[in-house]
Amino acid sequence: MDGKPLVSVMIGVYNGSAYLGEAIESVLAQSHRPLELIVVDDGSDDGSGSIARAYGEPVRCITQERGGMAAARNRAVGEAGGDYFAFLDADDRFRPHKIERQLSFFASDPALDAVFGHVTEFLSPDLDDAARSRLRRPVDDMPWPTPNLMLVKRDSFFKVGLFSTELKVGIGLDWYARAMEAGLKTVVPVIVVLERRLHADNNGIRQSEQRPQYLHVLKASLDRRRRAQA
Amino acid sequence: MAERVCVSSKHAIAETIEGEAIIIHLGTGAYYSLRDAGADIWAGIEQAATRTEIVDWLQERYEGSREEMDAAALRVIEQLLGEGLVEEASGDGPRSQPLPAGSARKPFSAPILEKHTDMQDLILIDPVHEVEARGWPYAAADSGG
Repeated sequence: MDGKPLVSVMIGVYNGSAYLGEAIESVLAQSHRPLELIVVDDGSDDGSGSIARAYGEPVRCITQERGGMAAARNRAVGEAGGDYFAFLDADDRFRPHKIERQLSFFASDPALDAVFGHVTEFLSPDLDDAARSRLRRPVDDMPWPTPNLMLVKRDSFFKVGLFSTELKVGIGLDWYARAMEAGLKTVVPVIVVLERRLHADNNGIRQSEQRPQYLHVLKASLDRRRRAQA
Repeated sequence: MAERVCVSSKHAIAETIEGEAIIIHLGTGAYYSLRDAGADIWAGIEQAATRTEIVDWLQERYEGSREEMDAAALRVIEQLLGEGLVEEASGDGPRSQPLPAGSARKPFSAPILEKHTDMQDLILIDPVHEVEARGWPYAAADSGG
């Protein structure tokens, strides 16, 4: 390989000004270069876009009308020029060697399409004791094969396709299911690559009535697999 | 075995979509499918119907002997109990409503409980579990921390 590959990291943000800076800093702190960071401001009115724009290269900020998390990520994908793609939620943080360590798996197995890893959750430090006591216990060092922490080859990503804009929850589950159906070769190494923040307002998952969307994602995946077998 | 079982509200969420019951076990991240007569049995369990009632309904919807339907229903219920998706219901419970009968009776074949474990890691961490009215990531009231 002639030099190191360009990695595109993508963040979609909707009113995430409280934590966006930390997310961006965790990307800029990566041991790997070259990288580009594309932030899609998904119609925020809390100054999230200004936070992202204040950084300058290698951070780019694109503003769009509110379209949801999938639409924001998809917009970023359209702008991404990297050989590898990574996605980060605006309230989470990469570990500093995340990209470098994931890339090393591609080096040892060129047939790999995507590398996942483990996640560790943390309670957001801005929460008071009462708020903390109401949140569930954070998970520590758990495997999590999800787009939120994957590093995927550009061509492999497009083999699976964009994120489903019809879903509010289960977007990652749906993408992972389609990746498995497409036969992507993946690995979930035992390395913590992502720190996931638990706070009072985690990504859009506020309505218990959205739970059935997971069931619909699974049903759709079963249907596709059965059709493929038929 | 109890006369009636009901869906484990602590461990299972489910929805019947296009005639297929999809069930997630929130504690393990496994998911399950029941189709055809299996989905009918699940519909009966969702109403905490007795096995006798469930078999009555199967008799209305499918061609086959009562014995084979009863054996099939018993087997599915035992499997669901074994997976922790349903639990024994006590007391009289709500009076269950019969399932709408199909327009024409179909040949009966013993339903199969499909179990899938390929998404466990995702389902366990995704906010699919522990979502209550206040929303994820609040602790479930009965999770014990």
